[in-house]
Amino acid sequence: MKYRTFALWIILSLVVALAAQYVAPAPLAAESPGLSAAATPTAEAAEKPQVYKVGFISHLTGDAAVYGQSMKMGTELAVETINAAGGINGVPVEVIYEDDRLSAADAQTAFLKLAEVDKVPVILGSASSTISLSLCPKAQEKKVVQVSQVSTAPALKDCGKYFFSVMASDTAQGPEWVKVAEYLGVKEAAVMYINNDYGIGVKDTFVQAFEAAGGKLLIVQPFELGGKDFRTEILKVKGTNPKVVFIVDHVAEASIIFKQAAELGLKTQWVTDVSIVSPEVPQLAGADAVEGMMGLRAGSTQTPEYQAFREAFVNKFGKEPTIWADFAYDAMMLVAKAIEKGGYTADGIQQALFEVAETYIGPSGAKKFDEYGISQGSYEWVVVKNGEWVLYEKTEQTEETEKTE
Amino acid sequence: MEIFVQLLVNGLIAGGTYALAAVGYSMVYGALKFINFAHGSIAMVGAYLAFVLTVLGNVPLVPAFLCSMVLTAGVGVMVERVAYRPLRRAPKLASLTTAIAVSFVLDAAVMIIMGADIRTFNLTGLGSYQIGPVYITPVQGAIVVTSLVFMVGLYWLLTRTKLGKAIRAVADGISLAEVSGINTNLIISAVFAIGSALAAASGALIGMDTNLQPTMGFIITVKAFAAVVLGGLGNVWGAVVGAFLIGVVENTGVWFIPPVWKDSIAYGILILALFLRPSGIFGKKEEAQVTVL
Repeated sequence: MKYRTFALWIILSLVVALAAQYVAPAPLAAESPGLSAAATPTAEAAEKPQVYKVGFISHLTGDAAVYGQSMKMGTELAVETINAAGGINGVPVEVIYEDDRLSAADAQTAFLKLAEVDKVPVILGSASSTISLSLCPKAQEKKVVQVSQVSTAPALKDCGKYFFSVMASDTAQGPEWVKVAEYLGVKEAAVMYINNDYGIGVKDTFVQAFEAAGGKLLIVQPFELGGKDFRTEILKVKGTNPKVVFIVDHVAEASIIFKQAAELGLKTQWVTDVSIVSPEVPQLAGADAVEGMMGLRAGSTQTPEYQAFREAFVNKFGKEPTIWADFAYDAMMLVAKAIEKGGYTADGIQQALFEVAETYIGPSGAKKFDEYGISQGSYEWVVVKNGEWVLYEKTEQTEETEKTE
Repeated sequence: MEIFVQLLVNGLIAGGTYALAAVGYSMVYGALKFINFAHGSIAMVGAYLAFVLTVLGNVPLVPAFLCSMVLTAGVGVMVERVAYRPLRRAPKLASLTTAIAVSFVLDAAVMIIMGADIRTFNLTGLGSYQIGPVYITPVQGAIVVTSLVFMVGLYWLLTRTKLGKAIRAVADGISLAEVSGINTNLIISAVFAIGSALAAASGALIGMDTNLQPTMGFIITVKAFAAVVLGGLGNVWGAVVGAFLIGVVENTGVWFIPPVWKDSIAYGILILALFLRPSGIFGKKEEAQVTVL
């Protein structure tokens, strides 16, 4: 009997919770089953809303929260800048932040909530290529523009016309690594990669380009997302005595790998992908473990746009810009400009994004989109000195960042 | 060959941390016959308490470590009092579901208070020592020593003290223990206190070895669960053996097969073992009732 009352309470509270979720947008929710998705945004744009809502989906919690939280800050800074300047034609922007916890299922839920309940014509995100890939068919189907800040898997170019990414595809990172290898004069190297869409994408382009350039791979070692103990994987790499190890990974796993590699006596020149070039890595792995490590940084810290962004970021958050906050800032800025030019509809934003990106230069660089809606980018070489990522001083070549096609 | 000595040592280190977590898990199962899926999250809370005390509170490492064990014991007792005790006579499924809810609540609470960022104890300055072909860090040495010390301590507690006797009595049969005049609520609180303290030790050591994240509890739960079932549900020493077995096989196994299978290894051995010995390595074959010792 007591049990039944308990169960009834649970059911009752669930019903209340569900009802509460739909009370506010009740009229919209009621018509949503039979709704043609294309019709909604246009109808809303006509009457000029009180506020322009933009969706945001990223890993705000979970194993990759480092990226999501950082990009949220970049987005907040952009929103503040836009609204301080009077919004878009006098209408302020509001971003609705949703968490995907680095799970495709949660991302789907968040996306449906944003598309059906909040009726946003555009969402920012996600960060992980795997999650962005899982979202893009839905975004095409519901006709919602998806602007990923940093998803880079080559497969994203087949997503469809509503997909954009403001970071260059991974097909560019592999060849850049080959340039590092040539610069360091190594013909033999080891590769470690995280076993997801992003890691495999970078690894494949590098392996291809490196072997084409006459390089020899000593070992190509995968490891798993979310792992804590990589000692066996490291020992396998150590067994081949590599002078240089190229690694593509995320902050959480990478910092453990560098720490455990140092503990296991693996002495090598590390060269990392863009995701590891974050101030957290030397702190988490220990400065000694990563001293002298080289990496690629997407964009450039030397431009006036970045310097201005950096100053604004420090003013607002009291710390140096965290990883990819600049890309998140630019994604939001581009979307705001596109709303201004094309109107608050998915198709308007989709067309206007190409135009506004032509001339836009932000803290993360020039953002011109190619035919697939993916920005071209450049990399600068960085190195860890005294526990901090600083610009790598090339001795023979110029310090200019090379343009990658 | 040398590399395999290192692999074995790495396996023992991993096994040591699993063992500390598995013991508490197993004790709770022994006493209450329910699987405490929040155990890993309690270990995570212990790790964060140790972190807050050392890094933010500037308490030296060892006292902070012990303090976190005591505080986490309190957390464990509170969780039992608030979440599990009202459901003790309800079907086991209700407690199980509650345990999952507790783990979400603890993870979310830590995430809200401490943020989702990865945290570190910053012990890398300690370096590592080379003994023959084997590299070992002071933290790893501490993991092995601590788990051995606590295991011996636990053995002494369970076999040589009155409290231990009472715990075993409750595990044998809670109603029978009650009619014998044992305050079962008190004993169950004690079980949660000890189990949570050991979980805190495991969480803090894992945290020192591999950094902290609010989500770290889940994998601890998974590994401890595998160790406990492998050793025979409710059998504390079985859990210890299961934990070391899983640690070693995982670490040596990844040498031969791709790491994507790493977590499957634990469950592979588990399934194999259950085929051959359905009650676990040390579980009693005949009896449905499982015992602590």
